[in-house]
Amino acid sequence: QCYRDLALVSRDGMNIVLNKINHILMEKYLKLQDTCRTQLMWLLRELVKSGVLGADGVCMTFMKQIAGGDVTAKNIWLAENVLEILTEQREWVLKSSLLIAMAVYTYLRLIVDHHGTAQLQGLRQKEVEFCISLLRERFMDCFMIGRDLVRLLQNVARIPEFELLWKDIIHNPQVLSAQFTGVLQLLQSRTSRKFLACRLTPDMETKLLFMTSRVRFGQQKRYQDWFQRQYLSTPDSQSLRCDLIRYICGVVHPSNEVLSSDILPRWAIIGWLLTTCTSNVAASNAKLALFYDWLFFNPEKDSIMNI
Amino acid sequence: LVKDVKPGLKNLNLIFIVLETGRVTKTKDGHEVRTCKVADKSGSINISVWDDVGNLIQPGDIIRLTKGYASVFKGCLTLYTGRGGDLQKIGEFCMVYSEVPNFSEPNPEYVAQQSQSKG
Repeated sequence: QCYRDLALVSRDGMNIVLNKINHILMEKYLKLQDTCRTQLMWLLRELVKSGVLGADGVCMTFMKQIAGGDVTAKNIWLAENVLEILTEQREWVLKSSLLIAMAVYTYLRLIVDHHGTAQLQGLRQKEVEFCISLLRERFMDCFMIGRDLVRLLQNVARIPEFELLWKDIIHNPQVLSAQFTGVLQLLQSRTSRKFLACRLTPDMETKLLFMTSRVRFGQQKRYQDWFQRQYLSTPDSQSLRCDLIRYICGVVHPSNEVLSSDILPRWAIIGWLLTTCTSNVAASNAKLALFYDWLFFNPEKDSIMNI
Repeated sequence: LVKDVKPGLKNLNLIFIVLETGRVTKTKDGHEVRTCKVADKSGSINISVWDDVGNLIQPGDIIRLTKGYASVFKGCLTLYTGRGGDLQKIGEFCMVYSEVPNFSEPNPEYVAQQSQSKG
């Protein structure tokens, strides 16, 4: 009822409403009570169903709140519900290339975390179907992700549907798209910061950015402990390290001023992330994540700050 | 700032970040007390917190103390929340601090002062 009134009254295409929603999601999501989160999800669904311009932005902001390496009930609820909207409203999703790419990036990454219980397996299957269908139907939109798409696909390569996809990627790329010449083409394409950043929640970004811009080298221990305690303390959470490392390589590019000061250098943070990892698989994925841009570096297209 | 805290000062208003929370001890009248190490850019100091508040405070919390006071306990300078004052969490993590000097280190001067005022 209220929504209908709001839609009727709005003269700016719901712009103010959308901005407010994005703001709440980014700044306050962690503090929101469950009923509020449910309401916001409902609101998102309504916005999408009405085809409000900018609803895709809210969708992406919501996806950003899904924390990697976190299989607690609330986080899973979020992953499930956003996926449900995306699946239900497929036609709407297909209108936005960016949303397609972001959704694939997000859920390909989340698939890795969802295993072990029946509920998680169920969620994983839906995520697999969702990603595969978008990858096969709109491959060139997904191609936009760049080389990190290969990294993500490698991490899920053992899943039967992805195994089949890999066969096509390697042996028969044209099946996916006439413009796709093969893996090398994808690997040569740098991944935009917006993808690398979308897998960190706003709180994670705030804390990492604080560490790389304000904390002096030598003073980082407590901050590392606090970050670790909050985000990296469970066996499931080790997968987050890859996302953090990709973020630091690709998004955090300190100015010359910071580089020449005694502020905590990026290699120190990465060293910390690698040496405190408690899982061998996650550790080797993390090391690969570190070198990813270096392996395919092209002086014309890539930034030296990535390596 | 933490470095300006001296024994006997009242109506202190400070913003600091919590570095460590200590174990709980029970007082004779049934309350729980916890000592926490807190700091700002000028140094660190201990604060004693009672009951629920002590249980809620976490390392990394950024807190505003209003109407606090300081006195010497067992030779160490300590902060407390005074009457009408309180502790409010205003953020977490994003505050630069210096752990040294630790103003709550046992200070022979303070011990001497205490014995003088008692004697």
